[in-house]
Amino acid sequence: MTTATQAVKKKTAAAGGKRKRQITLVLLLLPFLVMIGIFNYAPLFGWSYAFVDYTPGVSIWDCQFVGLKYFERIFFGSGDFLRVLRNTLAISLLNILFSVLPAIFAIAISQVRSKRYAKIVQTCTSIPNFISWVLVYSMVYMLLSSEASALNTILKSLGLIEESLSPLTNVDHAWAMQVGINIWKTLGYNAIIYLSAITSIDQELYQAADVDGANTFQKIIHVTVPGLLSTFFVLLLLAISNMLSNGFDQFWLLGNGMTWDKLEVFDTYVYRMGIRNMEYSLATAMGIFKSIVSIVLLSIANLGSKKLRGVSIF
Amino acid sequence: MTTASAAMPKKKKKRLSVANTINYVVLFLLMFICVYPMWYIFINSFSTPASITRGVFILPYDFSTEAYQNLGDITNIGSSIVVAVSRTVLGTILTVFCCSFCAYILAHRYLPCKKLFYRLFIVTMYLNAGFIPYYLTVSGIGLRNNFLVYILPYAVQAYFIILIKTYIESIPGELVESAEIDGAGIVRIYWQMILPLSKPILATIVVFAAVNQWNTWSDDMYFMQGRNSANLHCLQYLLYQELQASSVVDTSSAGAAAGAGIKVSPTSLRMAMSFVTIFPILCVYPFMQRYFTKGIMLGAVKG
Amino acid sequence: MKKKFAFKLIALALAAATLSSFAACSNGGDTASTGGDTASTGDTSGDGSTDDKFAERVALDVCAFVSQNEQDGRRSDPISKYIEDQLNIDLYLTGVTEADWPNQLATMMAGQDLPDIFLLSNPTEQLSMLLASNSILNLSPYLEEYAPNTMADPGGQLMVTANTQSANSPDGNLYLWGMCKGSWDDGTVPTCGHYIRWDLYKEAGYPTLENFDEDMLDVMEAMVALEPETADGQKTYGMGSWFGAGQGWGEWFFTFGMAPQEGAGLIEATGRVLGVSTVDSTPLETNQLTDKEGYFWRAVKFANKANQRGLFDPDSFTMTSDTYEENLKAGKYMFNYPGWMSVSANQEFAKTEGNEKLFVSLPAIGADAEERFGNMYRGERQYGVNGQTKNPERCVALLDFVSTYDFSRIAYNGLEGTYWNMEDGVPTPTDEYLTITKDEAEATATGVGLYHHFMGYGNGAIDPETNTYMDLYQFSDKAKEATMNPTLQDFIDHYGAETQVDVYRQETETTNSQSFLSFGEPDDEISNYVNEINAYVGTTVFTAVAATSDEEFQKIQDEMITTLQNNYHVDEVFEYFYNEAVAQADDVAVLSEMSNEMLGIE
Repeated sequence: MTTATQAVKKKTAAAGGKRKRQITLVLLLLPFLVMIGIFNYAPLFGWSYAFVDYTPGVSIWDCQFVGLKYFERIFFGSGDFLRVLRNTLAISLLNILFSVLPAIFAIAISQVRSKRYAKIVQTCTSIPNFISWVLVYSMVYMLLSSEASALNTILKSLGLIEESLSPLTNVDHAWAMQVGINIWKTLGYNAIIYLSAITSIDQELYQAADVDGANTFQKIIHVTVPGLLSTFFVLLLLAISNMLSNGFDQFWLLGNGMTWDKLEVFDTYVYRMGIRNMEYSLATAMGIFKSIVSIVLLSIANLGSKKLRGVSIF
Repeated sequence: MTTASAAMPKKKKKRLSVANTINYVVLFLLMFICVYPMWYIFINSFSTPASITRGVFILPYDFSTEAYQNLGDITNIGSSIVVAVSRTVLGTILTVFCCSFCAYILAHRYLPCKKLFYRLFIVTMYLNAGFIPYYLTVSGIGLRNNFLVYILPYAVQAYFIILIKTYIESIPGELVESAEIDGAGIVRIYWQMILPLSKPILATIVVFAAVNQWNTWSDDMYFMQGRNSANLHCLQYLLYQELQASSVVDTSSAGAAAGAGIKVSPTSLRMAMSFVTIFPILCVYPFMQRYFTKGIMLGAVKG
Repeated sequence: MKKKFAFKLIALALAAATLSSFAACSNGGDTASTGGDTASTGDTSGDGSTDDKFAERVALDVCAFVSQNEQDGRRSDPISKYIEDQLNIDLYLTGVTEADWPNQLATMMAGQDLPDIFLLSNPTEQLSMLLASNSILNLSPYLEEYAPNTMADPGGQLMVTANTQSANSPDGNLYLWGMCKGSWDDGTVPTCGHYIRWDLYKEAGYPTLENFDEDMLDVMEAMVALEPETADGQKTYGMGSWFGAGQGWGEWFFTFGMAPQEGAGLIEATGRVLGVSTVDSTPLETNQLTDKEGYFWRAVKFANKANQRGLFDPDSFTMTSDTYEENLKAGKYMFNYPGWMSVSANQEFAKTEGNEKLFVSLPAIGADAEERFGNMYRGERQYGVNGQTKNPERCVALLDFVSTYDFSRIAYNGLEGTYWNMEDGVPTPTDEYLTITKDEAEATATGVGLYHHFMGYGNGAIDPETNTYMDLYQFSDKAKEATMNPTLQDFIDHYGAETQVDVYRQETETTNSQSFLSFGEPDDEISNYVNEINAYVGTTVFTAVAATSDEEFQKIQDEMITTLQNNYHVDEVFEYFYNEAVAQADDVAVLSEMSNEMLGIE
């Protein structure tokens, strides 16, 4: 590697330099390609399990070939697929809608003059991200939902309500509730990326704005926001491509029999139908379906970005 | 940012103080709803299970250290902490190094088939083969009961590469070009220019990667098994097992309850565990934070 | 400076990584050599006396449902040492949990990394997988020579017979080894029963309780009126449940809340469409999920009625089982199903001086049969031996060794001399034993409770030789004396009996569990239907409990039944399992006869 770079160094100016440099770059990338080859691409041989009746330990060639049987079962197996899809997409869209919040939050923090205060706010708001969903469940239960919860106790003592509120069983507001909890949990942590993006904005731009007599708000609109756009769009595209994965734990733990109609999402469906019953072929088929949908969504979003903004991101 | 506002004329400062006050107050409220849960976990971890179900909201009124005693009794907890810290430190260093280098190469304007290579990395985010083929592959290259299984599979992660690459691309191109004209090679530019300039995003990745490493235990469950697994288990897995043991009572028959009767309820044990595992993160966090909240004077670097 | 430091750090990291990989490689080397050793042992062990057979020390890897406390499985407690010395083995015993083991087992099957002996968490499905991949050993050829204890023990014979019948073995050979045979209790604390706060029932003046569906609700109401608040000021309810977080335990509450107490079992493997009589193992004629008067719907309706009358804790829909248990211990409920939770509530009540609060399990109400004296004839947990093991003989010998009454007693109570002694041929607990807390520390120090699901008999099984229960801590005469309280005495007197067990025997005609049915893996389509029925019922039935009027309940019930019939093939599934059950009549007769002979029933 060092000899290659030395060689490159010598010939930078030379005409053949570019070609050498290209080769060096590819060579430098090679070890990492090998790594994703091993850990990400090699296991894909397992996708073949979706097309046979797979039994662990039995060679794939000895398993009965069943074609698309398991894919059919995803879509037509029970009458639930459409409902699951509706819930999944609705919750994802709501989450995407609110994905602008971390950026706003990061800007708000960056406007705080006391650096120490900014740091404390930032540290504190990232705490919820570290709390496991199981504990989030117990807290929501104890603080908001149960008869003896803090919320009910306070509201009752103020005489505002007679009957206890039970937000966890409220099917009408189930989506709003889950999206709200998700925002609370991820806001501070997701703002980190934007905070680091804000620091990359060239300070000269602010100085130039100052010279033009811009106020803080104008500077945010004309300097900070454009500076965050590329990060925002990258994350937006990733969120769009991940529409089918809104996470298992949250909906499994915070959902219950009363809200299931609104909170059964694709990830819980996969678990309920596939993994829990040791249906490995079915679980694999669901995984393939998810991968394909994600990649297609990403391509579409990328194309859209190219058409609308003139830049394709990936 | 701070420098920018400091440079503001005094008049404007006054006019904006209302907005600023609102900002302060809103942030404070946000902070409260984020910090209170931590306090809630803390006080509940020192309460008896009975008082938890009654509601402990401000201070524990039925003080008990039972949950922590239970954690202390876990056998081999010392070695598991060493493993957890090692995997976090080594894994994070490797991840940050690999991902930033990949991102740099992928952002390099001379890389041929740039889009193709980049997409090869991106697609890995969406490929999930299921745990059985993954297990077969990883144990096939000899990583079963091997410490490397904790760090190698996480070395190259597309999500981090995307974040770093986006950041690197925002660094003005002239900087790199001028260095190239000075005769700096690819690796040297990475080392002397890209790494220092991307400190904010690298700090972010350090936090993300370290937290992931610290919290992961499922690889332990699948890959560290049986008689050669001594001193290879990490803290989170031991804690997880402890939790499972306390819920054996729940998932099995009366006989199990009588036989393996662990008297701490899963909830209070969970509270104690969360506190024990979140606390180190919060201690280390501020050290990384100064990198992503502090601006880097690009102008100064230029000069 | 800084850069240099960073560089050094990375260099250090890489060095450490390389080193650890070397260390791991050398570990791998060790495994290989151990494997070689064990292989040679397998070859040399031939005929001869027991000592000869076990002359060479070998290592066995076991994954079982036991306490998890040693990383590599090698235990230091005296019971493990005792096993190792007796059988001349190095025992690597890894504890696994029901939740994670299915996936771990699947990876091990796929990678051919199975331990020598392992748990089958779902034998019905896993056995066929293991057979297909040639990974499970036929134990039949080894029984005569290496499992003498089991073959000489009627309980062992029953287990072997049941596990070689067509439902549990495709070819009549023994693949599954059942552990935890017999019963999990002495009949006084059934796993699922109708437990009520007898102290309050007594205080209420023993109100009429002739049927479950109506009278029980009135009784609960009367009890709540007597104690509207717990000691610490919480509102009390007649009953509660735990449907929160991942649907809690799904429909467990309705599957076990009603049927066993009236002499039937809803078979979970059939999606609980099929009920089986515990009197004579005959299948019930009606589909339990579509029969509104069946056990399942009666249990749902009962909960709904309680809910409508304000007797059902509204938190039931969102709470988890551990919260429920704490509530129970705090005295929030008057009525309860799970036996082990009643036990822990009673223990909590007993902490108060002069306590009279007590949950007591009622005899069958308005029925002439109940499943009270458990009979896990196949064993509650099934184990298998790796088909590729180097030491099949030693594996069978280990299984046989831990399956005896003697070992089961040791597993519960520790080695003789620690917490119990033989007094006049009767195992008697020491006074100290009855005061200890059985926890993990105890399991590490003395081995007590460590082998909780890797031993032959449940804690309520009776050793015919000494005529004592396995678990001296809970069921020995001495222990029972210690836990007697005035409320329990009142219960016994109320029925005019001598002991608590006598109450149940005298009040109900059939109290023994006589259910000898088990089902093999159904064909593909049926098993899909079962999964889908479980998923549907497990998520939807709660809305029926929450119904605010009888009309609404009816509506939801009708809707569910229609959906089950139209979309989920319940009738087809029922027919399949019903026919399967009928076809097993001969097998059941064999088991029934053996069991009756063993238990001395005419």
